[in-house]
Amino acid sequence: MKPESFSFYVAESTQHALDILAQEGDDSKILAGGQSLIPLMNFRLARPAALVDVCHIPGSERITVDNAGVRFRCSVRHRDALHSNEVNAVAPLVGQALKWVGHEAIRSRGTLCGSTAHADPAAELPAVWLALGAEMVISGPHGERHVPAESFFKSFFTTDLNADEMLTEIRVPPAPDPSLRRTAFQEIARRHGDFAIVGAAVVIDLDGSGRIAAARVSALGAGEVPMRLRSAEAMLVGSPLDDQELLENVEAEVRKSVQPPGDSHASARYRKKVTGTLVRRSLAECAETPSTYEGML
Amino acid sequence: MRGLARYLDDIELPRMLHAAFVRSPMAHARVVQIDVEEVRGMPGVVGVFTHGDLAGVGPIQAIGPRPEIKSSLRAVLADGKVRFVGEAVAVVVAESRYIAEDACELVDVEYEQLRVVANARAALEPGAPILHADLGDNRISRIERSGGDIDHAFAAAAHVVKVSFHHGRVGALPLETRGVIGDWDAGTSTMRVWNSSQMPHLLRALIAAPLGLAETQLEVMVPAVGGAFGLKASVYPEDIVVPAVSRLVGRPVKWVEDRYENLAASSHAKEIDIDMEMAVAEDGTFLGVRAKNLSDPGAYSMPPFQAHHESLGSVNCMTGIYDIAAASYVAETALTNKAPLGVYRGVGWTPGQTVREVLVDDVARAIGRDPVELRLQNCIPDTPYDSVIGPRYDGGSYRRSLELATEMADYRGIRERQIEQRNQGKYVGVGVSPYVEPTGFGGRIGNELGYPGEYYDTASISIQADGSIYVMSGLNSQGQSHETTFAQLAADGIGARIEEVRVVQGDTKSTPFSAGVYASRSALIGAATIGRAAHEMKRRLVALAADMLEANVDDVEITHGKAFVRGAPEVVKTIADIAAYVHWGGGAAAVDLEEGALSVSSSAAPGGSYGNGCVVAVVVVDIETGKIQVEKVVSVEDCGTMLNPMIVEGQVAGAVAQGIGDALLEEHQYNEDGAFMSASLLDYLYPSTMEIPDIAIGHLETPAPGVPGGFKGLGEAGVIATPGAVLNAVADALSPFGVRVHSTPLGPSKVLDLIDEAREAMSGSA
Repeated sequence: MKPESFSFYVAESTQHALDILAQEGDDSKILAGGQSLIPLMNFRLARPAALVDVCHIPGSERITVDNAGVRFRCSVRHRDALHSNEVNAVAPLVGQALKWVGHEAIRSRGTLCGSTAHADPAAELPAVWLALGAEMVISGPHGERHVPAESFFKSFFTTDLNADEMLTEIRVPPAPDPSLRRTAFQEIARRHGDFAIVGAAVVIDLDGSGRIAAARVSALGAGEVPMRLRSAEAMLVGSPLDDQELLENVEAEVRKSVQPPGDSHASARYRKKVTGTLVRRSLAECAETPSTYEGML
Repeated sequence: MRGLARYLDDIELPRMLHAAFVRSPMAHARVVQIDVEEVRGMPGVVGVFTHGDLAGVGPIQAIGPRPEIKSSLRAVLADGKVRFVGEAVAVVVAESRYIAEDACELVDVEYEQLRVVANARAALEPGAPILHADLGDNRISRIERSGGDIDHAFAAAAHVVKVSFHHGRVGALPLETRGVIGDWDAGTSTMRVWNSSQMPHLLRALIAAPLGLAETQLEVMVPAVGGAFGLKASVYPEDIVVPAVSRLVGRPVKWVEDRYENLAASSHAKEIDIDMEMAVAEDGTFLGVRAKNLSDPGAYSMPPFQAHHESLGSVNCMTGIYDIAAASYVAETALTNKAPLGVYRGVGWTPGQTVREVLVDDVARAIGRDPVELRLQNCIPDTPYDSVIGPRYDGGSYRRSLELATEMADYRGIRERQIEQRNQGKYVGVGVSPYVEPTGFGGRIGNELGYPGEYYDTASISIQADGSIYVMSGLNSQGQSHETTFAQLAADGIGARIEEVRVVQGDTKSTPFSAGVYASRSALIGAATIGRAAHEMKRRLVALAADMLEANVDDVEITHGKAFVRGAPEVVKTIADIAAYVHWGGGAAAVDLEEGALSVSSSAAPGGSYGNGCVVAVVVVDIETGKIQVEKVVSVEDCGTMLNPMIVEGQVAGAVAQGIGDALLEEHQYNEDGAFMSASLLDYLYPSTMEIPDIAIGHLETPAPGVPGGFKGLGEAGVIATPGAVLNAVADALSPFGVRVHSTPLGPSKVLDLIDEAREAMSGSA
């Protein structure tokens, strides 16, 4: 269980990283924490000829919170986002989801951008970005482009990134009115810290009268990419959040709308059913309390 | 935990090379040819070997200990055929493990696929492919036994309740994987072997012949071991191949198993189908129990314990703590194209106990009785008791442990709250699993249970010139703290300070013979051998001190390392003083010179003893997601006299955790084509601290009558009893739906299937 030999570069800037990618060609890979890539290399399931470590790029560990929302640069570790009071104040869903990611050691090394670019369909963060309407900032030889989360995830472990590009930043837009936003994240895993069997992320913006003005609901583990559940979202808009019958109808709708795969951890039927359950429970959680971050600090 | 222990992988020898194995990707195939040409010229590669290159090495022999068990052979590298995914086909020796693994990819093996035997039932079907042609068929063992009038019991029964249970295939998963270093010394014709083994002497005995060496030419050393749990108590091909290639290349060779190899090719455990039925009288009395099982031992029978161990173990405990007048069993084993089954903590007992206790709960539900009351009604007395089908219990707390465990778990309180909680949508369940298990597996118990064989272990104690004390034992620790308990036994027996005692273990050259550390042997055998040696050492020290103090031996006392005349403690001779007197002062004349004044060896062949106890589990089942949360585990154990409560509790906690893994998480899966589906720790799920609840431990002490000190073993109990408690708790929680739980492991997807099936069955019958 040793990797094939490979070249190793430490990038000093984004441009430096891009230059190395251009020079090394298709067999090069960005290393951003390595919590998935290194095991894959040890199994020889991934055989990159070159690794470009982007975690030492000055400023790449920065989290910026301002009127434009939250920006996570490319080497922000899970742990730093999870423990950031500023992030939790404006985007509590990030912390609500991150506490499900791996274990302390994994969260200390793994990065938000690395996990996002890896695009495991059962990972927590991709579903979070969908629910928050986040935007991916991609740098490449022809400059920078911005891709909404929804167009970023293409299929199993495949994103919109080209081999000569890197994910340099994830931007989360601000809530229209943070005091009227409710968020929740729920998942089922065989063990705490495992990739989820299925999970759900929910962002609800209420209007002044307590009705749902906008809803974004996403599921993980329910298909080959994390997905928005638009038919469920449509049912929610205009209703109060504490309508039991509505929540049950949404649950049934979700079960109808997802076509998950089965594997050794759970059948397709199980995933279909429980995705619905978790969406309903997430919505109920939103109804119960204004979202606050309750981490395992 | 300070990370200071030195494990096998920490050992670096001059000029050492590294081995990696080419392993079969096929479940069952003929090896048509192996082309190694591309590898031979690779920079850094020193040698590449296939079966043909290892003439005269091997095979591993499994000699059936009873006529019902077939003897079989296993080549150390595939001899023309591979029989499971992960089987070693060739070995590359290189300057680094990296180069060796690169080279393995370039060894070109041509396979011709054969039909796969995917499970034990298929193995017995007419026309099934035969794994080992010389065995005639795939049935490697079939053992029958009965006691009492079983036909009468079933004829007289008011109720007969039956289960068909499948216990999944699991593995021991030690944190430190296996590893071997071979270092051939051509100058003295001696092979030095480091091996992360549980049984250095037995390993030496079993690999000497395959290596063509006398035991005196073979030194087996075991450094610190990071867990074993039975996985390191079998003889594997690598144990022989690594030393053999060291001899061929003339340099030390190291191989440390990686996690893929550990999952795919180290021993698996506990896979078995068991049908068990209970004959019950109108008043709930258990009249008779009948079992038929079929274990899937994989492709080879691994010595010393062999393929039949799981199937025979699981029926040996079929009557448990219950007074049952008649019992019978048929225990079968049929070879398949999977990794070989070995022994893992609670071998045989885990599935046997689980099925019996699940059956008792099914009986209780079928006849409308409380499961604890029904157990107490049928429980044997706490005095010695001969079961009808083998075990002869030597007395314990069979009834008291069940009562204490249910008290500690607040069984009555849970029952009272349960219905109200169900109405609120919370499904709480409680399950009990009282056990009695053989420990310190010696000749007497082995023979009772159908494993013929005797054991004879030795320990020695010697005192150095400065008064410090060596305890030499062939029982080597894998984390069970022998360094503490054996030192304690010696210090207490001698009257020395524990700080002065140093335990030496894990070296066949310097320690006396021991059969090894498994089957909960160490406490009993350590006590018998070290205890006797310590007692004799004390006698000698007293004689020497009496000589020095010019006193009568009967008046001399020795305690905490100091000897003095009773009533006059102001004049003392320390053990250091006595040792100096012997070594430098001519004092040895005071005792028997010929025996070696301060060197004692003592042997023992203890018969073993039965430990007992009871595990209670409380679970909450989320009926919408199938998620099971184990809220609480209570474990009451009776290991006779407790050697060291902290170590006892550590053993309980670790074993309970493995029992929870067995019940809910762990499974080595193969598909119908024999492909191995659990090749990483993403797929093979062991319990983490997050899945283990607080464990409440209760101690009862019924000293073992035939064992010095009254000690019994207990290290395996948690793995034996916890799965039954957890499964019973889940079935109890889901009893409103009529769910019965007849397989392991029980993941959330299966839980929802069980609820759906039970609901459909109910609506169908309504």
